[in-house]
Amino acid sequence: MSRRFFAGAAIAASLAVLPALLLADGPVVCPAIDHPAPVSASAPGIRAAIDPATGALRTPTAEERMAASARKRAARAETMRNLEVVVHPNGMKTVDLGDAFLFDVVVETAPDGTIGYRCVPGAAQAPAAASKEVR
Amino acid sequence: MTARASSRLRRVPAFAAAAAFAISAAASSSAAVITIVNGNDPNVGFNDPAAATPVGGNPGTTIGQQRLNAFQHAADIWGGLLDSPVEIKIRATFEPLDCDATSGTLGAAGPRGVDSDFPNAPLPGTWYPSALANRLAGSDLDPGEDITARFNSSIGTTGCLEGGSWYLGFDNHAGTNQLDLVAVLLHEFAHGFGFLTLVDDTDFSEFNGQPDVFETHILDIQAGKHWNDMTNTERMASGIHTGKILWDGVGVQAETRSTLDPLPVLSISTPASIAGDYGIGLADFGAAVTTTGVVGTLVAAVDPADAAGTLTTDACSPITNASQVAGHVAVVDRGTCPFIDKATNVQAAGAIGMVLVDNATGSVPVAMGGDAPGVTIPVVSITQADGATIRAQLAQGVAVKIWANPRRLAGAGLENRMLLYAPNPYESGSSISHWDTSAHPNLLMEPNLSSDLPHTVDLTLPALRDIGWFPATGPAAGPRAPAQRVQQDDAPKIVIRP
Repeated sequence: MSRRFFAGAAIAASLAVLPALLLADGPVVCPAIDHPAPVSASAPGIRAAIDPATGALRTPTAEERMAASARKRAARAETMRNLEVVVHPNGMKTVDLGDAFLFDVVVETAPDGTIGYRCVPGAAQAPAAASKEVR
Repeated sequence: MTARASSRLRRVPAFAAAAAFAISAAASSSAAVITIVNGNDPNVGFNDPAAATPVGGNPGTTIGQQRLNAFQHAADIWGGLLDSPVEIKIRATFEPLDCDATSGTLGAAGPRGVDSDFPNAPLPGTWYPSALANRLAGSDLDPGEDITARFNSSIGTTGCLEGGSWYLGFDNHAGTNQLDLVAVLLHEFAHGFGFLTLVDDTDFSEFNGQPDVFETHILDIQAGKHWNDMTNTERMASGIHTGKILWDGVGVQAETRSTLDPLPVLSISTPASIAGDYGIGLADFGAAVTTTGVVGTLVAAVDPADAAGTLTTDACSPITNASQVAGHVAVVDRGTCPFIDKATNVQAAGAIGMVLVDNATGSVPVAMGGDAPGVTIPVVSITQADGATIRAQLAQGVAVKIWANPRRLAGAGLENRMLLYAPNPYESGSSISHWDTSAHPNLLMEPNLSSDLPHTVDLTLPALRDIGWFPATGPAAGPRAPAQRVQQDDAPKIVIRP
């Protein structure tokens, strides 16, 4: 899952807002940009998988879920690294999360042909997930 | 509430090539205007001109229009329920996402931004998703989209989950192997409205050192603290306190009893050393677990170690100790063959119920899928750990009752507060930001989206109420209950008297 970052690093971002501020009437107060510590957030999402033997959508196994979880953590850590906190003159803070907190939905086919969805964090190549296990 | 135009056309400068347009929530009675901003290029995604036959109330005559209509329909449902004077904008695309023949991502959504310390913020130093922050501030704090939603346009095409396809109707009648887009969207949009925590799932630090509003409602009754009052280390430990992590919000608490069914459990009355209620997983087949229940004695089913199953406890072949099993509740091990085969075999041996013991570690009993109209006995599962405890006592005679305990709610814990999903091990993203899978009936915000979910928002709406989506509610309006430390299982133990 890709993520849209703020353009450039903190300094670049500060410079980008400067021209507009210089044109404004009254005192110019630059929004400060705080650098959040790198985090690997949780993001909800949806995926699915098909049983190769039967062609039916199924739920992911516990092992598949754990493997997906590990991959997603690593991917999200990278995704989150460049998020920026903009501190406004009135004290308000804003963060453009881009796609950092998207929740994927995955689905798999089960041997009995039933479909299941599972909501998992985004930003990674996770194995499919689905409704319920059948064995 | 301000009435707004039912639809509008809008350019998206960031996507110059896109024939971007938007459709807002159409219902004039909407309490919030939710606008779908089409981010697709011409001829793809929402603009795919391929002909389509109207389906399930969706009048679109092209694939692209039907997709957009489904998004609008989900937005309309939420728009009619939420309360905001500020337009909520969802940037949406239908595009090829990672996918192969056996698995793939259906889609993803979440908040586009978060804000804290904005005008009228109920809690200082606390992150709110931008759509909610706008509502509370009464103005658009972050011009631009509030929620991102991207869905997979390749589903059902060559090499991408060819056995599945999107169902784009509004009538909740998805067929076999069809994916109900509206139901999925209702779930995903809720994450965008704030049904999620921003806590890091690696070191459990708060997002940029501040709590998020969802987090302030996460109560660990084992630790006796809310998540926003914990250290990173405490949150990490708390994340796997299965059955102890509750949603602390009066809105949800007030509606659990009218929403949830009695909790299915395996109650053991004797021997006294293991007496109590054990959590169970339910099956899609077999008899329903009722408040009357099935009472009996547990007996280990034995079958040949053969090609069907290498263990004598897996019930993958006809049971050889049928005379002992008959009239009792059979205990079998998970593995090798489908659940329905095991249930069929023990039922043929005369069992009045089946308890499946998981063959892998885990804190949540497996939910068993399958279709077996011929199975008429109740079939439930327990964890591997509970199975070991119970099997060790079988020789003494274990008296059980498989039933739905009316004193407890399926999915709720202490004082009827909803349980949040907290399996051990922690599942990144799924844990905490969803209701527990023990909820019954199935709820919109469980991590496993049930294919039979209606197009309703059940307890999701009061959860959003708790975080501030409606006037005179939310954390500023209603103090949270004081945290309580609970050393033992909060639920009363059930002792069955013969």
